[in-house]
Amino acid sequence: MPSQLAVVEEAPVTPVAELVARARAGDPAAAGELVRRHLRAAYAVALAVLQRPADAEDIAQDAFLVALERLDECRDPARFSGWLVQIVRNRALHALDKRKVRDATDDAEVAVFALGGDVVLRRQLIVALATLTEVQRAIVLLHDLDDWTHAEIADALGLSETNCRQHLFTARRALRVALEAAHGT
Amino acid sequence: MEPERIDLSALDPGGWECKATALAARAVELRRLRRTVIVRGVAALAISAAAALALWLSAPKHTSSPSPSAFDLLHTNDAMEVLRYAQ
Repeated sequence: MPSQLAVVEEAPVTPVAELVARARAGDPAAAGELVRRHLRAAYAVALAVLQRPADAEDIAQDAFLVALERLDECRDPARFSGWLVQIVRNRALHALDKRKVRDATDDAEVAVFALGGDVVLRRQLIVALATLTEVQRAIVLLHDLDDWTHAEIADALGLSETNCRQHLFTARRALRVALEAAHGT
Repeated sequence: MEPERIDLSALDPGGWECKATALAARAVELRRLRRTVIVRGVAALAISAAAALALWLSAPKHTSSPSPSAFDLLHTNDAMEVLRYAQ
């Protein structure tokens, strides 16, 4: 007699290309799944550029709306992630330019506090991340915050996997040094 | 050897599920709005084009017969035509 606790088979993960095709055809569920899978990565990329969590969230959401509107322009649906990362990065850079013009005084403290939670740790992380290059920040955030693989990151950012590993290595070491220095003070 | 993963969860605002649902709903709404605007725009354009065509077709036609000019008379031998021009 089969056990009552039968093994529940996991639903197969729908390929991104199929989700893109269905979202293009107007399927709201497919669009929702695309957002669910990629919103945190969009936030990670925006945070790598802007270095302010609250701003990064806004830009990630704006960029996603734009991406969903322009879904027909995504030439290779299987590489949706890379296409989205480019849109997020461009919008984040644009926002950064505007912020540079707007902000005579740095209100980064306000941005850090805006999210609540562990403010001290968040501030230390942001200061530590500022010691990295933008690419290193994007790699470490995508890898350690959203669990992207090296292959996925390399594909999205147009790097080789080896290069990506090297950047992650350097970034983690620099972050550790900066965080230890912050704890020591 | 790769350095250990750094806990960046303090930078994660969380609540992604709710945010994703709200964002997807907004995207669907925007898409529907855009389609509505496009459909109505195309309909308005078609109606105005049809109205313009109807106006043009219903307008009275100008049936003006070409009047002979003095220059034409230089090339004619027809006396009646010369008289008609003189009148």
